[in-house]
Amino acid sequence: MTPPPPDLYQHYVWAAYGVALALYGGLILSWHWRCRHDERKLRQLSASDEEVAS
Amino acid sequence: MIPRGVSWLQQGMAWATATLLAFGLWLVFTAPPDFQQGVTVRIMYVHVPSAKMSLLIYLLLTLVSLLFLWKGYDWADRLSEAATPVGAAFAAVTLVTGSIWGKPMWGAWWAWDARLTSMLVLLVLYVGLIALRSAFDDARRGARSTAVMVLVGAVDLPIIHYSVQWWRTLHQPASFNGPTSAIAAPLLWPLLVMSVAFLALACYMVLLKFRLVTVQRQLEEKLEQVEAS
Repeated sequence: MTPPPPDLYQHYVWAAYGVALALYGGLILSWHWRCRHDERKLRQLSASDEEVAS
Repeated sequence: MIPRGVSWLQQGMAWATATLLAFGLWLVFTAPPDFQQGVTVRIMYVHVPSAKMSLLIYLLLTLVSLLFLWKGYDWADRLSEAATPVGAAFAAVTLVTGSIWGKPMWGAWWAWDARLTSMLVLLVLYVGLIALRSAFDDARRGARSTAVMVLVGAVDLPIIHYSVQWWRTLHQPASFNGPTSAIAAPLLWPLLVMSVAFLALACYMVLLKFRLVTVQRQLEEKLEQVEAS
């Protein structure tokens, strides 16, 4: 059997890797950003609690 | 806040993922094309590890759900909440990349074949678990219901694994079985490295989401305290 020409299906490969990169990368960036945001907010609340207590 | 061990483990996993993915992708794009599939064989290096991770994460969910129902550990519930969307992402990528591979190789984006359908059921299960947890006002009841649902859904795991043996499917049988692999070495090595890289990626994503879930719960508690005072 003759193998298909190298460039014939290349765009399918890029599409598959693009989907994986977009989904995994998007989730990681989103969670990373939200984690930093929520940790900062939690630290601010804890700091204001300590101020009130002192 | 978050235990220091979790943060270190998360950072370690991030470095391991980046290194293994870089090495794995170099192997993937320097490996020769398959004599029948041509370059579409490269889709396998994302598709197969994603499929394995989606099953492995459901196995993890089953174990932590059992622990939560039996012992009531809070960390088990947080781990379950964290792992569910990660498993859903791996299942979604498995289905989409499989479909992208199927079009040039089978001539169809989708077939109602036993392997594909049972994998779709897994994705629906993952999405259903996320919806079920958020449907409850009482978080504890939501956690228990989700854990029970995870155990019911675990029946799909052997169906997915053995579907290619139990039924005549369009999907090919497993060709990656450790020492008895039917794949030639130049194509097998990238698959092995990418599988380990995806294992590290899955660990990293679960740890990151676990950290987020923990912080969000602490923040909710704190805000409730502030409102009460």
